[in-house]
Amino acid sequence: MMPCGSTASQRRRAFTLLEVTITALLLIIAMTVTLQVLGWVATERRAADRRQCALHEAANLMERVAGRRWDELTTETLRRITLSDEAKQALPGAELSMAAEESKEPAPARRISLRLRWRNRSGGWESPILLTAWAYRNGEHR
Amino acid sequence: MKRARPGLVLVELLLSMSGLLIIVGLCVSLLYGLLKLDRVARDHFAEATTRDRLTRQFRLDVRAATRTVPDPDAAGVTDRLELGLPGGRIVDYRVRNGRIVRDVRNEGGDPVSHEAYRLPSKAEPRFQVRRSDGDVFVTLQLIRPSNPARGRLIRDPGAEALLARDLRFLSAGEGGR
Repeated sequence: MMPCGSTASQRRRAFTLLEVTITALLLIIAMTVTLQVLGWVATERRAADRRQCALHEAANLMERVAGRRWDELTTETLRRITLSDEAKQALPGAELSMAAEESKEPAPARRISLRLRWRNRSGGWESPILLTAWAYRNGEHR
Repeated sequence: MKRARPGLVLVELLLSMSGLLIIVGLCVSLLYGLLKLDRVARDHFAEATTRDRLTRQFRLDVRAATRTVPDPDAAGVTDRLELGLPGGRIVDYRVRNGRIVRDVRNEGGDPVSHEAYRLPSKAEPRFQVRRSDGDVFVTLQLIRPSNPARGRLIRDPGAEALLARDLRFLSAGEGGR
C-alpha cells in the first residue's frame, strides 16, 4: 500500500506521547512552584502586618505607662496591663510581660521593659518585640 | 513525489495552536500576577512609611498640646481633631480630598504649616479622646474602607498619645498643668 520510496514519510518525526507527558509534567511542576512562592509572599506580608500591629501596640502600652505615677510603676501593677482587643485578635497566642527594675545611677529611676511575643503559623514563637523606657523619680510631681 | 511530502494536518495545527495559546495565557497571567504583587508591595511600603510618619507627628502634637476639640468628656469618635498648644497655636487634623491633612494656625488664625498624608489604602482617621485616671489620651485609628473581598484583615490598634506629656514637668506659669 505504501510506496517503497516514501521513507521520508516513515521517518517523519512527531512528538511521542511520552515527550508530551514529560513537557506537561514539567509545566505543572513549574506552575506549582510559582504558586507556592506567591503563597509564601502573602504569608510573609501577613507576618509583617502582625509585627507592625505589635509595634504599634507596644508603643501604645508604653504611652499609657508614661501617664502613671511613680508609685504605680512597679512590676506588680505593670503586670495588670493587658493587650487591646485589636492586638489580641491580630496576634495569635500573644504573651505580654512588663517589668520595672530599680536603678540608682545617675538618678533614682526605674527601667520599664516590655516584651511582646506571639505565635506564628507553625505554632512556634515569633521573635519578640522589646521596648524599654526609663522613668525618673523627679517626675513624681506631675 | 508531491504526495509523499508530509504536511501539517489541520487538526495538528489547531492542537499545537491551542497548546501554545494555553502556555502563552499562563505566562501572561503569571506576569500580571507578578506585576500586581510588585504594585501591592510598593503600596504596602508607602502605606507603612506614611502611617509611621503620621503616627509620629500625631504623638508629638498631642504630647505638646493642652486641650482638644472634641472635649475628653464628649465621648465619641470623630474624623477631625483640633489640638490647642500652650502658645495659642492650633493644630488641626482632618480629611480633605482623600488625604489626611494637618494644618497649623497661629494665634491670629493664619496658617503656619500645612501637611498632607496620602495613604494608598484610602484609610480614614478616627480620633477618640478619652479620660483615664485623670489623664487624657487621644487615639488615632486608621480605618480602611471595608472590602469584603479581602476577608480577614488585621485591625489597626491605632496610636495612643498622652495629652500634655511634654509639659508635665513645667510649672503652672510656664504652661504646665
